[in-house]
Amino acid sequence: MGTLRFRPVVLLFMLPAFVLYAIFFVVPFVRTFYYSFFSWNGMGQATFLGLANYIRLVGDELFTAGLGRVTIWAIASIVLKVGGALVLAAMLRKRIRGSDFFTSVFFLPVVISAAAISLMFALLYDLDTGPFNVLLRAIGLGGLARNWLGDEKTAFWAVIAVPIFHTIGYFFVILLAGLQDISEEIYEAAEIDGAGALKLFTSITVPLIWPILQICIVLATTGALKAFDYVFILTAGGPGNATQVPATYMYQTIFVGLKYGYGTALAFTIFLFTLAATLIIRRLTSFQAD
Amino acid sequence: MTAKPTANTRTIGSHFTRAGKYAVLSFQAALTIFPIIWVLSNSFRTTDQILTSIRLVPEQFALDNYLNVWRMTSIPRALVNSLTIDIVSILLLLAVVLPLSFVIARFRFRAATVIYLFFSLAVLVPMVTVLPMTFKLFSELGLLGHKYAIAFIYVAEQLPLSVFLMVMFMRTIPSELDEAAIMDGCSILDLFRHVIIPLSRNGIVTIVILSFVAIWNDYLTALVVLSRQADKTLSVVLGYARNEYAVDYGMMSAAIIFAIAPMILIYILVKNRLIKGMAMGAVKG
Repeated sequence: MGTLRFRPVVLLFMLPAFVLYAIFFVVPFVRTFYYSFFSWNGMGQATFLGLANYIRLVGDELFTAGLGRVTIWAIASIVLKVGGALVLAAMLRKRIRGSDFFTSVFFLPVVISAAAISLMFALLYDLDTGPFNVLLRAIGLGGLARNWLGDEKTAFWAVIAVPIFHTIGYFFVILLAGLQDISEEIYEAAEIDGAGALKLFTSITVPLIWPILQICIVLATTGALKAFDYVFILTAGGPGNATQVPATYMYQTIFVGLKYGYGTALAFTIFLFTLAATLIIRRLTSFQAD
Repeated sequence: MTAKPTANTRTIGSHFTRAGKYAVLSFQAALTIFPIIWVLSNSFRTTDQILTSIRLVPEQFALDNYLNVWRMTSIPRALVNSLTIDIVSILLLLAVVLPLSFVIARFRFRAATVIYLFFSLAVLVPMVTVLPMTFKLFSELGLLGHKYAIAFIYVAEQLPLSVFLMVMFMRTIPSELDEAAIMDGCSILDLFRHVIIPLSRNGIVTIVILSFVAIWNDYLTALVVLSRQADKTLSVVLGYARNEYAVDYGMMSAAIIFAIAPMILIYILVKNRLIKGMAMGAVKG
C-alpha cells in the first residue's frame, strides 16, 4: 500500500489497463460461460439449452478419454518433471564446480517455443532418421523401431515426453532458488547428528521446500489439464483420437465443427478443472506446511 | 580406534556420492543439449547425409538449407512478423501497465487491493478457455484482418504477471520521494514520469524480457487470431512446417535454428535476469 492520498486523476492512470483488460479478457470469459448454456453455430440465433451441454459432456467419450489422458499427463509431469527437477536442484543446492554450467544448460529449452521444441521432437521420433530408431536398430532391436507419433500405442507417451523435456528446467530453477534460501546451518546440524544424504533429502530438503514444491505441483497439473500446443503440432489429436486432449477436442469442436455452444462448455470445463485441481492440491498437500 | 574406519567409509562414501552426482547432472545436461546440437548439425547437412548417419559435427558447414529456407519458405516473413508484433505488444503493455502499477503501488486508497485482485484473476483462467470467444469478439469488431490487433490479447494475457512484478518493484522506491516531489510542486504526472519511471528501470527491463519471450513463443493465440497468411508468426509457421516440407530434414532443421536463435541469443545476454524473473513469476501463479 502506497502513501499518497487518493485523487480522482489517478482513475485516468488506470483507465487504459482497465478498458483493455475488460474488453479482451473479462468479456470473452463471461461470454464463454454464457454461451456454454446454448446451442449456437457462431453466427445465427443461439438456442438456450440449460445444462444440456454439460450433461452431454459427461457421456462424451472423446472428452472423458481426453480427461483421462491429461490426468495421466499430470501425474507423469509431477513425478518426472517436478520430481526430477527436485533431485537435480538438491544436487546443486550447494555450489559445486560446474553449477553455473548445469543451471544454464537445464534452463535453456525453457526459452525455446513449444512449436520449435515440438518440431525438433518430430525429427527425433522420425522413422528413418530419428536417433531413437537409429539407436534401436544399432543395438539389434530394429523390430521395436517405429513411427513413434503415428503408432496408437506409443503416440501419447511420445507426446508427453516433449513437455517434460521442455520445461523441467523451469521447475529446476524455481526449486533451486527455494533450496538456496534454506540455511546451511540446518544441514550442518543434521550432518553432525549423522544423517546421510538420503536422510537429509527426506527430512530437511523436502519438508522445508514444501510450499514451493506445492506451487510446482499445481503448475505441472494445470499445465497438463490445459495442454494444447504440443499435441496440436505433433499429432493434432491422432492417430485416430489416440492423443486427443480436452483442449484439442475443444478447438476441433469450435473451429472445425462450428459448435460454439458445446465448445464453450468444453472450454469452461477446462477452466473448472484447472481451478478445482489448484484448490484440491493446495488443500491435500497443506498438511505439512503448517 | 573405531573412529578411523568410520571416517574412511565416510570419505569413500562421499566420493561415491560426488561421482554419482556428477554422473546424473552430466547425463541430464547431455540429454538436454543433444537434440539441439543434433538439429544444428543437420541444418548444415544434405538429406542424403542425414539419412546415412547421426552426427553432432556436420561433414561440412554448407548453408544451402538456410538459403532454401530464406528463399523458398515464409519463415523470413514470419520472423519479421514475430518481431514487429512482439515489439508493438510490449510497447502497448508498458503503456497500460506502468500507470496502473504506479497507482496501485504509490497511492493509499481502499479499492487498491480489490483492483489488484481484479487484474490478477486472469492468472486462474487458461488462455485456451477464453480464446474462442476472443476470436468471436475479434470478428465482431472487425479486427481479424489486422495484424497488430493481436497485441490487445497479448497485453491482456501478460497484464497479471506484469502488474504483479511492477507493483513489487515500485514499492521498493522510498515513499518519502513522493511526498518531497509533491511538496516541490510536482504534478502526479511529473512524479510518474520523472521520478517513478526512471527509478523502476530494473523492473521495466524484467517485464520487457519476460513478456518478449512469452509473446515470441506463443502458438495458440497466433494460430487462432492471425487469419491472413502474410501475418503468421514463426511459431505458427513452424507448426505447419511438418506438413509442408516434411521430407526435407535439412530444411526443417534450418527452420528450427532460425526460430530458436533469437531466443538463445537473448538467453545468453540476459540469462540471470530471465531465470530470476521466471522463478518470481511462478511463485506468484
